[in-house]
Amino acid sequence: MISRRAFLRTGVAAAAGGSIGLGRVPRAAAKGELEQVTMGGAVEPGTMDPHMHANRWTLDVQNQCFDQLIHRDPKAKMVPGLATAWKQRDDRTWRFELRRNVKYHGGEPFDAETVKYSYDRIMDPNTKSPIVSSLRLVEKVTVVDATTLDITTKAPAPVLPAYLSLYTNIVSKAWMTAKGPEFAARNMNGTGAFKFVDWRRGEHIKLARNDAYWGGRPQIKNVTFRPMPDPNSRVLALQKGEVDIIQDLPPALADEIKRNADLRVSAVPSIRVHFIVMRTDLKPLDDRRVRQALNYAVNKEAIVKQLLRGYANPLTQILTPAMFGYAPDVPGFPYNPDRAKALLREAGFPRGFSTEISGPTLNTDVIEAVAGNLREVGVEATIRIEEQKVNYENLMKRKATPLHYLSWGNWNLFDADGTVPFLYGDTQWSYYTPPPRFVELNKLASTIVDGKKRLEAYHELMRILQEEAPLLLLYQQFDINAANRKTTFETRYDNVMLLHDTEKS
Amino acid sequence: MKWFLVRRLLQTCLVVLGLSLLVFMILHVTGDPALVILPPYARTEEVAAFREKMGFNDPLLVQYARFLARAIRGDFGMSFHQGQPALDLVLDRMPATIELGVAAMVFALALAVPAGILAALRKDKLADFVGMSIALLGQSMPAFWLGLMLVMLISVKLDLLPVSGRGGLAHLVLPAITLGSFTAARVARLTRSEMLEVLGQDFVRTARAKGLREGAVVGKHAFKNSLVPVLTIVALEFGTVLGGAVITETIFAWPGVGRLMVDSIFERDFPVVQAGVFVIAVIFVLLNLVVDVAYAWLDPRIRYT
Repeated sequence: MISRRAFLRTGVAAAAGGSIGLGRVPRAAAKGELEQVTMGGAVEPGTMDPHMHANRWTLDVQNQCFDQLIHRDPKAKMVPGLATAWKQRDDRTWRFELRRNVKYHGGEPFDAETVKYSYDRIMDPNTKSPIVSSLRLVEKVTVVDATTLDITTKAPAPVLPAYLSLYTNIVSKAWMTAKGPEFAARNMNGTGAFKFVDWRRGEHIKLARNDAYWGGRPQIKNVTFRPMPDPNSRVLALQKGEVDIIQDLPPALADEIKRNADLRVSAVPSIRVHFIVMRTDLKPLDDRRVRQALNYAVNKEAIVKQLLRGYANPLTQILTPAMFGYAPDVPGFPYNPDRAKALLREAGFPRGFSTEISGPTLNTDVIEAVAGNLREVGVEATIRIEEQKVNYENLMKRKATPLHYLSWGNWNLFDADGTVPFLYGDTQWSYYTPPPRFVELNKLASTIVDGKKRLEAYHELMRILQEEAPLLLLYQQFDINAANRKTTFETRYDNVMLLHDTEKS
Repeated sequence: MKWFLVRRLLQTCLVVLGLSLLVFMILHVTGDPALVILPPYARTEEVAAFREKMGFNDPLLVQYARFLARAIRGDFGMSFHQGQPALDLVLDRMPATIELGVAAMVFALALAVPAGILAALRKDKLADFVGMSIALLGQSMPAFWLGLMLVMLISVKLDLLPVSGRGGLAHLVLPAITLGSFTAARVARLTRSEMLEVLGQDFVRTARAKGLREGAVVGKHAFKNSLVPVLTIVALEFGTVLGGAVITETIFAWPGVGRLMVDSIFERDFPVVQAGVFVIAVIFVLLNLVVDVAYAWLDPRIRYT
């Protein structure tokens, strides 16, 4: 049971959150505590310092121990974290009301000063923080009083709150300055639901619950995170009962889990979408009819069903339904090889053309399927498979093949602003030059405060993209995790493996 | 002997230096660390600023000189990715690596040497056929397959040993078998062929003619003489096992240096790769030195001056 004080605190927080949403609501009744939960993770964190990495998997450990000003609920909706409420005071100033009576695991009080310190530390070029871009909208952070903070942005920035969730963890100023960065890379001191206990590199990271957690005491007493890079080994360890939850399974292994009644798969549509960047700066891909044709030529439904075993959705636009800006009425390009051939004919390629497609090793099977589909409409694509990072560097260094496979995680913003700006201009991965209306709409949408107008702007953008087809859309992947029946663990929309709300099953 | 050792140690330094230059150049030519360290959403100007801050914009030779000046003092720099001294990270993994390597070699030798001798003594008989068939199998089974099969059978179905991780002796058995089986097969085949060659030589016939027991003929005369090439292979294999047990380490979630190296290469974490190459190279060269010295003991005709 949760204490009366904690309940009141959360109630106040929820009320203060207002229209933004409820806080972490305390559980009505606990089903009993769990002594130990062990997680088999795909990637081991490189550092415990939350400001010194941009690695999604590291959040699975760190965000158990640290909080951000704004949290995400399991469906990725923004809810109060260390901030209980936030609102825009004027075009460029946001005011955040901070949670009271919160302490770091080391005992230091949480206040506006520590938030300012954390953000300033990320933004300081000397920190060399890989997540400095998360705060690129911020001009300055001002402490109003112990529980009030103002953030001034360089330009109007409706998307700011989204940037203040997930990566931008709040650290203790006193602890960080006393211990220094090398110590902070091996230890954690946050305000989160679990406390750091021990890290043996390559073996395990151990956490213990924070009894005084502001969001209610977790039901799990001890958490062990074990890095297990091979997915087959993760499945075997789950079958044997050495771990309770495993992360990141390929679809084939998910089906393997389903055959075992003691185990369960927990999969959700991911924030990550897969597509092919088309070199719109090269002939014949500079012709939108050709780009549309290639989109119609690829049988996305078959790829999803056959290769991904149903653990994906065909993509109709570059955004997913969980993101702000998604346009439900945009139809995408349902498989239609006849239409593709007609469009190619219209564009002056009745017999198709030859081109090249490249992508990372991990996605070889999909790339081969795409090339096969393209061949059916007369487009001969030579396949080039590269190591993922090499492939990505080629894209960024403007050396991409005419068709270049890419997957994009929207920076975990769940907002069109994490995707649309990357389609053109000084941001890197696209080679596309959009019409003036597109640029105008994107500028409007990334600065307009009115949510309804902003949404309308993105809807219009999605309709332009449907027409322009700068990308060959493929699928929205699923994030697939698995667990035994000991806990109520479910995969969240942001796919961070938070265990605060996980209970005994 | 003393001068031999000094000369070899000097050679070792040259080898390590050359290797460090090679690795440095290869790493810097093949990838841009700034793009890997920063998130994909970093903008062009942010990447440029980061590159400048990290010193990646200096000429390669300047970067190499800077690296070398510090490396001589044992300072390989801080890991880009892990925020710790690179050499510490590598040394931290060495106990697990050596533990697995030694266990794999012990398994391999305990199995392979007797099997090889037996196969040679029973040439073209059943024991030879069975032993060499198993050796062929051991050499042709890929580690990732063998490892997973062992785990499936012994850990999951029979519930005898843990699936993965590092702990006591129980954790060591399956990874050691997986890693050692290839070496075992190689050593068994080599021992057999060397034994057969030695057993056919005049001094063995002489030993038998003067009435020595078969055990002494085989153990003292034939086996010791067939050991020189076997020892060479064993030392080389051990070196490989230390640096390249990546597949076994991945399957068994073993916290060895191989996995650290591969991860660091993918992360373009240059300091860690440099430190790792340095440590493994030194161990490798030292192992070779030990083998060279051991030759003299095994074969008194070999003299070092």
